[in-house]
Parts: sequence; C-alpha cells; structure tokens
Amino acid sequence: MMRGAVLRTLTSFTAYLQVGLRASRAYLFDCVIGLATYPIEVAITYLMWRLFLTEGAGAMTHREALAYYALALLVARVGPSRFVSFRLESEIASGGLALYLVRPAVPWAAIAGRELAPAVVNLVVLTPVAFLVTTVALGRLPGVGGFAFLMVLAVGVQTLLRLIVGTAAFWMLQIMGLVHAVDLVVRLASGGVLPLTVFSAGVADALAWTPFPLLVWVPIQAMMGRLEPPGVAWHGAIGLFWLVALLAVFLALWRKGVRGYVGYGT
Amino acid sequence: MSGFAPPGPQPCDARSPAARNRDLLLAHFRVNLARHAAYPVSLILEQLSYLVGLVVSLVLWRHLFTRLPTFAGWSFDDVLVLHLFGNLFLALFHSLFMGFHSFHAIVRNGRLDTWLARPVDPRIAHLAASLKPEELLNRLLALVPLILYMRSRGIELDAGRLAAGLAAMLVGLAAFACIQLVWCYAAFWLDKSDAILAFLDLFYGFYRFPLDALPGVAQLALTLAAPLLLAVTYPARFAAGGASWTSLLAVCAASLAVLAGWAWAQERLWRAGLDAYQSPGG
Repeated sequence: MMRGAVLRTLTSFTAYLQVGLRASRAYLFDCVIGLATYPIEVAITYLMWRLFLTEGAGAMTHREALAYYALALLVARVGPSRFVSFRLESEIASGGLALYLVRPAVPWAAIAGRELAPAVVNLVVLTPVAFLVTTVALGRLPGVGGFAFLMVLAVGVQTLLRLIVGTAAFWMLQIMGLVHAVDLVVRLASGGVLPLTVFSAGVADALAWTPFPLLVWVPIQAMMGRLEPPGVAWHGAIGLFWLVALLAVFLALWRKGVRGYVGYGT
Repeated sequence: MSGFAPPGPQPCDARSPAARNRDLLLAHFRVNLARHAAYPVSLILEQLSYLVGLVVSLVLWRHLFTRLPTFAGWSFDDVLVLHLFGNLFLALFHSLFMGFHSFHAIVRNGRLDTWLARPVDPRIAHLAASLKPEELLNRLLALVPLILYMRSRGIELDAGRLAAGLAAMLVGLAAFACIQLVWCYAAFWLDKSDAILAFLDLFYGFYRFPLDALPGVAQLALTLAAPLLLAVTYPARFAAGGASWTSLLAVCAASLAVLAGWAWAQERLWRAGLDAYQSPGG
C-alpha cells in the first residue's frame, strides 16, 4: 500500500517535471527560432532589392544596402509587432477584456507590455549583430546616441499605432485585413521595404511630416551618421508631437470602445 | 449495459470516412460563413482593407517602374499578374490552412482527445473547425478591381496558360500546406510551434515580389523550405507569357517532388506525434 503511494507520487512528479521541462524548452526554442529568422530576412530582402538599389544615380553601394537592411529589420523587430493589435482583438472578441477591466492595472498597457517582451529579447541579442554588420559594411562606428533617442520615440509611436488598429475590434468582428493593410502602408512609408530615396522629392517631403519615417528611416539615418544633432532634434520634436497626438486619438477610441463593450465572448 | 457508445461510426451511418470528412468540412464552411455574414458592415470594412493593401502595393510598383524599365525581366503588367496569383494563393492558404497555427494549443491543452474520439480524421476535424470562408470571400472580392484594371490596360491572359498556371499554383499550395503541417507537429514534442510558424509567415510577405530575382542558390533553398516560387512566382510568370510550357512542366514536377517529400514527412511525423502524445493539459 505504502509502496504504491510512493510510486504514484514519484510517477506524477516525474511526469509533470517532464511537462515543465518541455515548456521551458519550448520557450527557449521559440527564442532561438525568432532570432534565427533575422539573418534570413535580411539576406532575402537585400538579395531581392540589391540590383535596384545599387543601379542609377544616387544609388547605394552594395555594402550600404546590406547595412540598410540589417538596420531596417533590426528596427522592425525592436518595435512592437502586429501581434499587439491581434492580442487586443483577441481580448476584446473573447470577452477576456472584462477581466482586465476589473483589475487595477491599465488594460491596454498590460496587453502592450506583454506583447513587447520579444522585442526586448531582440533588442538585447540582435542589436550587437546589427552594429557589427553596420560597422563592417560602412567602415566606421555607427552613431548610437541619436539612434537610441529616436528609437525610444519610434517604439512609442509604433505601439500606439498598433493599439489604435487593435481598437477596431470593438466595432469589427475581425481585423486581420485592416492589420495587414496598415502594416503594409507603415512598412512602405517608413522605409521598411525600400529606402525613402526611391520616392520623388515631393512624396518624401510630404512623408517627413507623418509619423512613418520616424519608425525606420530616421533612426537608420542617425545610425549611419547621415543626421546631424539639429536633425535629430527636429525629428525628435516631430516624433514627440505624434506621440502625444496618437495617444490622444487612442485614448478617445479606447474610452468610446469600452463604454459600448459588453464582453459577450467565450 | 451502460449507455456509453464507443468511438467510431454509428451503425446507421453508412457514409465512408472520406464522405464524413467532406461533410464535416462543408458544414463548418457554411456555419463560419453564416457567422460572418451576420455582420455585413464588419465584412465590408475587412474587404476594403484588403483592397487598400492591394492598391498600396500596386502604387509602389507603378512608382518603381517609372524609375526602371523592367525588374529582373518583369514589366508592370507582369507584376499585375503576379499580384493576381499571389493574392489567390494567399486567399486559399489563409482561408483553408491558417487555422493550423492554433494546432499547438489543442495538443497542449489536451483537446486533441476530443478529435481522436470522433469518427473523423483529427486533422480534418481541426481544419474544418478553423476554416475561414470569410477570408476567401474578402480576398477574392478584392481581386475584382485588379482584374478590371488589368483588362483596362489591355492585359488578356491566354485561357490555357491561366488554367495551367493555376493548376501549378494549387500543387505548390498543397506543398506549402504540408510544410506547415510538419512544423505544426513540433507541438507534440515542444508544446509550442508558433515560432516555427512565424518563420513560415515571414515568407508570405514576399508573395508580391518576383522572387526569381534572387540568386539561384537562394531560389533553391526557398523552394525546398517555403515553395512560394513554385506556388506563385513561376506560375505567374508562365501565365503572363514569360515562360515556356516545358518550363511549367519542370515547375510542376518540382512542385510534385516537394509535395511528395513533405507529405511523406507529414504522415510519418503525425504517427510519431500521436505515439508521443500524452494529453497532459486540462
């Protein structure tokens, strides 16, 4: 009798230890795979556009193009992913938001914070890699100060954009199309697909007043040493303006959405 | 005698397993479509979003072609055909197979048990439950303006080439779906498979770009790991008249080989996964 109980206890302990170990291994694996996709994405994007970027007047060298994509895709990964919008959608649609609303935590901040965690891992691990690639490609040390300052603003603006898109779930059954459309616009207008120099001067000037270049193009310019301190300050001021404006828009949408929220999901 | 009915087909159900799987798929398709059709405004807004994405992408390409006459042998008209194929591929893939992204959840929480106890293939059951017919509808409707625009530019695709290109795309789509299934089964050993699937997601974004601009080695690697070239780029190039029938046959042969390889791996891993499955969730 006693022997059976001990055996059952040991078996249960071992089985659930295995489950726990498997979960830990899964998170480690997630992390490794997430990081391993970075060089692949840089390589495909660079190889895809290299001929276009390195031909014609005012073109980049191959090394500059490589450095550009190493940085552009780093910046994209350090910012919040589209999963911030999807998480907000999921909580709203499933009724899970109701649980957040009765807690003392700020619901949208909690959701955004949770989804930003992979970005922090990317920041710590991938930044040295991107710095190394940039230094080797350009033959000089990158400008880190202006880059770091602009990146803080960029992450804030990007997070708010994602949250604003996510609030559409208060009024729409599904927001996947909207998320993808906004994502595409943001990637193109921020220089995430191609440098903004591919656009005509008029388009580039108009874009400069929007929040988009701050998300990728401007921090990269600072990093590649093409932005002097007054330029960093000017773009910082534009970024601050958009941070405040988008926060106001988001809070207005959030309040309106929560007022009409019934949390009927399962 | 207890009232417990053992799993398996009931005596009165004379349908074959294939017919049961088919009926299950159709039933879920109808239910999911009806659920989304109940909210028409949401459906229309979602559809408009896809349209915006398509227009933005085409505006970019239009702008790029003002700066260069061709891109790796592609003209703007060819890129329109590429978008047609790319969006068709995505419409089918997202509506049919994207639900497998949540497969790891039913393995982890033990809900796979309920599928295993039913007289249908658990893979089909999960596929049916996660169908997104509204995605198919939305994405296909977004293609109507593209087709009208192509016609206004005088692009007339040869019907035979279009049909053959679409057939090649379907083989590539099946290969892509098998690859996704294989990675989903990692959940049997790792609890999670989102990171690997996010890796596959990485490639979807390239559907609107002519991937044959990549160097040969990169094309080969991509073909084996995520055959977007076989499913979209080559068939679109062929339908646009930029490749011969012989090359399409070669593409189909390559697609079938990739499909056969991944389908074999899928079946083996599914069996191995079921052997390893312990249903620890609750």
